[in-house]
Amino acid sequence: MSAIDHSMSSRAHSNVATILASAAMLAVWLLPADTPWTSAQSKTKTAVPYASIATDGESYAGPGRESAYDLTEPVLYIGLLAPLRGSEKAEGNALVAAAKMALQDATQRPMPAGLRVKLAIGDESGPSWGHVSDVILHLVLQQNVVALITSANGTDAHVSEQVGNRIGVPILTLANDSTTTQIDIPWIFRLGPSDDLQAQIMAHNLYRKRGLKSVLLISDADHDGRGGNAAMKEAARSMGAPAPDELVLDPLHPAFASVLARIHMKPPQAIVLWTRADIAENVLSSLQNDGIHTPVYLSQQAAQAGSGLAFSGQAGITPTSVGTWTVVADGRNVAERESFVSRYLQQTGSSPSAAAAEAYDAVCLTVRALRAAGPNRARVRDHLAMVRDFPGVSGTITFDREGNNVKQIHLVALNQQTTLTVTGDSPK
Amino acid sequence: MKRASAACHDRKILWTVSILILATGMAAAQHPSYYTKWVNYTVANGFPPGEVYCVTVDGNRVWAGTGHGLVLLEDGRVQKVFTTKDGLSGMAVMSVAVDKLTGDVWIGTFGGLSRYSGGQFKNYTNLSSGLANDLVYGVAVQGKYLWVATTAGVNRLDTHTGSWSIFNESNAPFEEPWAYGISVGAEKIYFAVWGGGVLSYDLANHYWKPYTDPDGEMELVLYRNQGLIHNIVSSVSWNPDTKTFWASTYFGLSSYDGRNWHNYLKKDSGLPSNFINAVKSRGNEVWSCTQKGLSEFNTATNTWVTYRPNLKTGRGEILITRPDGSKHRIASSTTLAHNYILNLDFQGDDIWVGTAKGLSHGIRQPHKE
Repeated sequence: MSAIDHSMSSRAHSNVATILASAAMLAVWLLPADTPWTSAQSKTKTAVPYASIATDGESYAGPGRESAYDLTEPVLYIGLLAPLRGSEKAEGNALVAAAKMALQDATQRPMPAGLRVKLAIGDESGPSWGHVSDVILHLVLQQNVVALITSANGTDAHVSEQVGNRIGVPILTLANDSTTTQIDIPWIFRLGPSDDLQAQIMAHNLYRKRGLKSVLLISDADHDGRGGNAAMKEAARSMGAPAPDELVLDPLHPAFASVLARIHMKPPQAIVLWTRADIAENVLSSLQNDGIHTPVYLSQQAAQAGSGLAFSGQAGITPTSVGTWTVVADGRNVAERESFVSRYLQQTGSSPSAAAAEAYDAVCLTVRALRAAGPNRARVRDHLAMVRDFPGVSGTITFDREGNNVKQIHLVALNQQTTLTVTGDSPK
Repeated sequence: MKRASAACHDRKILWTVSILILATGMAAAQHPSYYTKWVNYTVANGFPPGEVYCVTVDGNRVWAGTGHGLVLLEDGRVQKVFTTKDGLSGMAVMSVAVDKLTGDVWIGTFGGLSRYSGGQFKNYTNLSSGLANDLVYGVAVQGKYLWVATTAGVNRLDTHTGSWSIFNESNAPFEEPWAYGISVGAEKIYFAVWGGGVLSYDLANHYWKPYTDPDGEMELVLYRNQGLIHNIVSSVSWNPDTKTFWASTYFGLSSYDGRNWHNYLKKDSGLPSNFINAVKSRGNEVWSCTQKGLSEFNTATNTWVTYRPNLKTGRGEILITRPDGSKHRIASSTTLAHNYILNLDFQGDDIWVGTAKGLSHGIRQPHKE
C-alpha cells in the first residue's frame, strides 16, 4: 500500500515477535495499569442538544430477514479484509492467523443443518482505493459473504460500511475510527476502542496524572492519522490542557529525520504516536538510536504487529515513568485469553496484537450469530446487534445501539525495560 | 330578439360552466387527491428480486436499477432485464441518467460505469478509464458533461472529447471523498457526500462550496435549524421551482434556500423515520424515501403525507400530518411493494418508487373521505 521500506519493518517484526511470552501478555491484560475507561466516559459534555442518536435514533426496519433472502450456497463465507502485502503485511498475517484459529475453534461443534463455513480473505493492500473497492465488491457480491470483517484501516472500514449499508451486509470492523459508529448505520459493529476513547484515556494520564504540559503528537497525514490527531487535540482541550504540538508525517514518505530534529528543537515531556505500525516502529527505533528516553503513547493501530512491539510483563505498573504504552481492553475472560494467547504463540511464534485478538472474536461472534440466525445476513446482523457480555479474547464485548463495543479499556506497558527494545536482536 | 335570446343562452351556459368549475374545485378541495392506486412489479410478476436502488423516468420509459441488473419498462411493461451477460458493468445498479439530447443511458453500478447507446454497452472502470473508482453511486448529465459520484471522489467526463476530470480532497473541499449522490441545477451542481455533507460546484465560476454540519458532532443535533443536520448525506435534490436544495441524511432532512436552513426530524414533522435513503423535490413537493415509508411534504400547505403498507395487514395506509400536528389515517386497498423506500422519480403526476421488494407505480386519485 505504500512505498515504505519493507526491510525495516520485517527486521523489527522478526526481532521482537518471538521474544515475549504469552504469560506476560496475559498478566498485562489481567492487571490494569491505569483506571479503566468506557465509551460513556468519553462523551463530550455539551448543552442539551435538540436531538441525539441516543434518544431519537431508531432500529433497522429494512428487509432481508425472510427465508427468501437466505444465502443458499453449500459453503458460507465470512469475509476478512486484511493487508497481505507491503508495509502492513505483518498485521495482515496476524489477522488471518487469528481468524483461522477462531473458525477452527468456533466450528468444532457441528453447525446446524450441515452448514459449512469458510473464510474468504481479501487483500486490501493495493496501489489504490480502486483495488480495495474491487476486493470488497468481490467478497460481497461474488463470494456472498455472510459478514465482512475489516482491518484497522479506517478508510476501508468506511468504504465497506457504505457498501454494507446499500447491499445489506454486516460489517465487523477492527478500525478505531470513531465516525464509523457515531450514527445508527445499522450494519456496522466496531470491536476495538474508538479513537476518541483512546485519546481520552491517554490525555487523562498525560495531563491529569502526570501533569504534563508539553506533549508532541505525531500522526499520519491519512484518514486514520487525521482522526486520531483530532481526537487527541479534542481530548486535551476537554481537560483544559495546552494543545499538543503536532508533527504530521506523510505515510508514503515519512521524514523520520524531521521527528528527531523537532524533538531536539523543543524536547517534549511525552510523545503520542497516531501512525501506522511500521511508521511507529521506525519512529521508536529513531528515538532509541538517538538516546531519547521520553514516554511514548501509541494508538492501538500504531502498536499492531509490525510495530516491533509486543506486550511486556509490566502489568500493574502505573504509567508515570519512561516507557511505551498503549490501550487494551479490560482483563476478564481469563481462560479464553490464556488459551488463545498460548495457542497463537505456538502457531505463529509471536504474541497476538490487540487487533488479532479482535479478529478472533469477530469470527467467533459471526459463527455464533450464524448458529442462531441461519444463513441470512439481516438475521445475523440482528444477532450481532444483541451481543451483550460476550467473553471475547480481546475483552468482554457488548455492542451499544450504534455498534460500539462498550468494553472498558486501560493503558498498558509495551516494553519490558524502561528502554525500548524494538530493534534489538534479542530480548533484554 | 334572436340575438338577445342567444346572448341570454350564452350567459346561461357561461354561468353553468362557471358553477360547474367552482363546484369541481370545491369538491377537489374537499377531496384531496392521494396516491391510492399502486401497481407493483415484484418477483410475483417476474421482476428481479430484492431492492430497487434507483428509478429514472424517460418519457414512457422507466429504468430501474436492482441488485440483479437494470430493468427497462415501457408503457408500464417490463421490456428487458439487462445483466452483466448483456455487457452491463455490474449487477448491482445504483444510478441511471438519460442524456436527453443523445438518448444515451448512463448507468452507475457496483462494478463501474456503463453507457447504453444504440443497443450496445460501453463500460468504464477504474482500470480502463479515468473513472476514480468502480463503486459508482450516482450519475447525472449536465450538457455535454457526465458527472459521476464514486467512493473516491467525483468524476466529470466530457462526452465530446472523452476527457476525464477528477475532483477529490486534493483539489476540492471534500472533507471525505465518498460521493453518494448528484443533483444538477442551472447554475450549480450539488453532491451528497458520505461524511462530508453537501458540496456545490458553481458552473460559471468553477468553485466549490461545502455545506457541513456546524455543530461538528456526529451523534447529535445541537440546534433545530442549525445548518445541515448531519454530515452523512445520502442524497441531494435541487428544486429549481423554489430555488432550494434538499439533503437527506440517516438522521433527518435538511433544506437550504440560500438564506435559511430548515431541518426536519421525526419528532417535529410528519416524517415516519429519520433514516432517509433519498430525497427528491419539485414544485411544492418534497419526497423522502425513508426506511418506514414514502413521505410527501407539501411546503405550501405544511402538510405531510406518508404512504406505506401495513406490515401486519398488507393493506395500504396513508398517514396525514397537518400543520397543527394533528394526524389522520386513511386506508388504501393497494399500496407500495414495501415500506423500505430507496428512490423515486416522477412521470407527470405519477410516481415510480424503488422499494426493498420491487418497483411501485403510484397513481394519484381524488379521495372521498
